[in-house]
Amino acid sequence: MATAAQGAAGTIYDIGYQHYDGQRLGRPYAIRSLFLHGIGVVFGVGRGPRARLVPIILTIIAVLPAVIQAAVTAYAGDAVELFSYPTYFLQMSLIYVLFCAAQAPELVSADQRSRSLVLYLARALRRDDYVLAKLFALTVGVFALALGAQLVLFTGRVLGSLNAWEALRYEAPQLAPIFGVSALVSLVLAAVSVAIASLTPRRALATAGIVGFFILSSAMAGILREAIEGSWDRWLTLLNPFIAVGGVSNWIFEAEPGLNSPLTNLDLPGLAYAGACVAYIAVSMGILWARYRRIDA
Amino acid sequence: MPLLRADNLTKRYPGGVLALDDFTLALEPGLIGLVGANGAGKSTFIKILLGLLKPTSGSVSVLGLDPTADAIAVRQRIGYLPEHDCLPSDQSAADFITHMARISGLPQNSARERAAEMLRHVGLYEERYRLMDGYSTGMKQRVKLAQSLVHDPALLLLDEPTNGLDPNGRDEMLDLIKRTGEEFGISVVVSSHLLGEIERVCGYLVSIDNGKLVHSAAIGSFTAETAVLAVEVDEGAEALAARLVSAGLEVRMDARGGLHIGMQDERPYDVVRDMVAELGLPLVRIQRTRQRLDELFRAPEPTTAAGAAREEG
Repeated sequence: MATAAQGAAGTIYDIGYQHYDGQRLGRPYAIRSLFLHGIGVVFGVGRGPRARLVPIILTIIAVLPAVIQAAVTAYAGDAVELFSYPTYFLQMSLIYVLFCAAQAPELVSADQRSRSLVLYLARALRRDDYVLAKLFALTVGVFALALGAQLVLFTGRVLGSLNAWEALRYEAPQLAPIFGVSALVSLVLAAVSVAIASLTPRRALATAGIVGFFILSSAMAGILREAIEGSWDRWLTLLNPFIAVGGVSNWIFEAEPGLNSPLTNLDLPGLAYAGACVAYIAVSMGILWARYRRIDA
Repeated sequence: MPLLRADNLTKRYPGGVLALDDFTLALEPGLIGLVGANGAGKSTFIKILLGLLKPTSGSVSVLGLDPTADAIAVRQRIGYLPEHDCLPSDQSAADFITHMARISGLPQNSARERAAEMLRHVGLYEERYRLMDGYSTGMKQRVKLAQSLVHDPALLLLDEPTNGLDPNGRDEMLDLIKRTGEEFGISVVVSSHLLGEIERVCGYLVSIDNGKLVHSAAIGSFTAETAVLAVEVDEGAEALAARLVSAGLEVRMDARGGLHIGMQDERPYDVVRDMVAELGLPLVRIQRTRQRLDELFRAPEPTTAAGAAREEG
């Protein structure tokens, strides 16, 4: 009796190796899976509370001013405008940079550090697929931050006014620029950050590199502008991604830069800012392409 | 259809290092051992099979496909275990293997099921929700095996799977590989610098040295050819060697004066016994062994009579 019971138990537990003959989805699915996984990494989902801390804090900081503005609008109407759509991007740029500096290394440096990159490349993915999935994961992460705040501003302006329906009709044309500029800001910042992070397997170094790049480029652009105002030197301020992004933002929203804005007095054509943004994206993609072509799998 | 074949495969790295040198080979499905010293070209060969490296010249086909042209199609049917660490420490094994299964094209639910099954197969079912930074080397190697198997490949490429394992872990890993190959009908190419490991697991052996194919044959024939008789005497080794050579045996003397005599048949036993008795030498050891792998890769030329004479002189 005992042996029979053991035998039965054995057949239950030892199911052995099962071949898989279910569905096999191809390369597009693999790219999508990597992208969705990347979104999880960007917001620290599924990797312990510590990984979630930074993205959550930065998300709160990025959206909180918009919430305050919305509350102020609800009480005081248009009279007190702390933040407007176009200036918000520039005012929050430091937060977006910190977000990128914290999360881009998690996306690309970490795979180099743990050397798991080869496991991706040994699967149904091309190198370019890997890079694009990672890049778009961070882009969507920043996009969510930027767009979220803008939509809070938008909602505040609509619901805070006396006639919500009228306000909605008045504000609605701003929605397209809101989406467009949010997308551009996030793509520029994400591309630059992922490109820098891809150059090193060390996360701390990548973070320092990203923050350092943005701070240095801002400082340099500032110095150059102080030096010779009104001359051709002002074109060099485009070396600062924020100037480029901010300029496009003002251009698209057809807004004038505020008094304290670094864009005041620059007076470059909108297309120049847009061209600089395209250049940032192109150069970053070029760096990524070269880096992942050479990287030792 | 052969499992894989290479024709005049050559790989020269940009630095000028010749990793594979006119490598020609055809292999049938089964458990195949790839033996060679470190730097012999094993990893390069495996990466070319995966389409991760492009050959400088020559061609290669895996499962009837060309990995340089059809890399994606080939990789969908191959599982790969790299020789180095490749696991993120901040994820659980279950999450990571599920993720890898999805990258291989398995839908979410199947991915999760397969991940759990594979972790059970490698004996990590209980620990699968723990973060991997707490794993021992043995556990990490098992996770690496699980990720290579999760999409049910037709061919496994295992690059030094016993790297860094203690003898116990080594045995378990080898058993696991053997079972995977024999019971599940998955062809396995397993590389190692230890011939003993390959002998235990594989039915077929390919040995590489300096990018060149040294040997490719069923394991039985290979070990028979490499069987040697190790003889140690306290003194008079040179004289004995000269006598043995003149008796028509292949003899090689190592640095410590030990003699290694090629064994095509049982004859050397008798010859050595007779010669030792004749010369009245103090015999310390006479033992049938296999040639050590590093010796094998130096392509040992049996000491010729002239060579032995020079050593004596």
